[in-house]
Amino acid sequence: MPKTIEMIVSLKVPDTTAITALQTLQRIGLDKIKDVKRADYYKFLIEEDEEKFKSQICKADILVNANKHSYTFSIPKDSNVKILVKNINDDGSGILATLKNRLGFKNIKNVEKAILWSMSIDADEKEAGKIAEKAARELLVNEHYQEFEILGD
Amino acid sequence: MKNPNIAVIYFPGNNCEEESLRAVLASGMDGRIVRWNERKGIEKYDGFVIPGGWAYEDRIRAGVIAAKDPVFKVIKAEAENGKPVLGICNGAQALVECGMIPGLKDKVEMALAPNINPFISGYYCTWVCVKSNEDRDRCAFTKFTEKDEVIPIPIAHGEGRFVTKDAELIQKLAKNRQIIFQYSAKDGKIEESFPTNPNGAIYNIAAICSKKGNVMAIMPHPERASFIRQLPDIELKNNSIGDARAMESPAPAMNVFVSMKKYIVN
Repeated sequence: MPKTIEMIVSLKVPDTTAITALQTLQRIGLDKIKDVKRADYYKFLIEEDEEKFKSQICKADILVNANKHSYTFSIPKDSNVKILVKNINDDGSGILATLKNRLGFKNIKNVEKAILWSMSIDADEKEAGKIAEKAARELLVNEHYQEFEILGD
Repeated sequence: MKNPNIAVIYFPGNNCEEESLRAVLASGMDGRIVRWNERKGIEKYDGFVIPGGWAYEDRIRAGVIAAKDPVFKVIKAEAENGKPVLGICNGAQALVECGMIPGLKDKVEMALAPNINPFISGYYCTWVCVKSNEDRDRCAFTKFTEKDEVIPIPIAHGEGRFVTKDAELIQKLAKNRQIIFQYSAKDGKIEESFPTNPNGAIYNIAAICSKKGNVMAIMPHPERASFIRQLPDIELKNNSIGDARAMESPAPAMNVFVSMKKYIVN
């Protein structure tokens, strides 16, 4: 039975892209957004032991460079809103081919890649959701080739 | 008459501002590189060039942070007054991300998405040909370029694929005669496949102008193909080898800048 594994990879050092995103969002009027974090998000469909896969995939240095990245296998609860942004035409086949053919991960059936934006928004849940949607539509996403999903806490 | 004065707008991370200014000056215009945070008084310039590079390191998406910079409010207002604005490569991405191109609605109507290339993922740099798709008078940047003229020009980008989710937009652009250059073969034939179309752009689009024709977003680099010496080893250059003066003479893409001058002077 195939299993789904999520992996979230973020920078250990300050992420200048996230800092720029925060500054730009505040400048365009979304000043209730108090913090922005960014991470690479991978979703693997595998047919093998989950723990064994996790112990190996975090060493695949095309995804994680231990010198500069940290990783987890669940979406961290460090902010009140999260936005997942995917490129519509990116089916993950490039990463899948590299992992399977060059790095020996033969039991991966599928890979999805996205960017995970985490925001701390000074608002109640309903308003925070609206602000996050505005942030996505006005800055974080170009809907002509990307799509997004707002994830609750 | 005084030469037109052009501001080449530099954002942190751009790297084509010097070449762009050189092409501006060689075309007979005056100009200077103006930093993004020197926006006070930029209304005095007669036109604007947004050069290539990686403004703000392409953080989030190519061109999007530059597009949200306050300097674009001024440039947009000046464009509405009819001043010419040329966005090259990263500058084209910024013009699309701020909605000035194609400019039919007051919102972002297109994207310059990651290239689709059967061999190379990401950044791709090569010489291509583009064909002028419209008559000379349609656009501020093609007044010396004949319809169907083919121009050798380099591309250098990772996100250069014009794309839209609006199923009717391309038809509207064609009807409005806003598709100015298309990627073509050397003989002008439009082939949708690689390598003629180097990035998978819809309708082979290499450059789009605004409805009024005074703003153009072009992904290839005319400033890198403005002198014969810059061209690859094609007949046009080979005929000039050994003749230093001929090598410094203008190549076809210089007409983008000469045309900008004519548009302003007229």
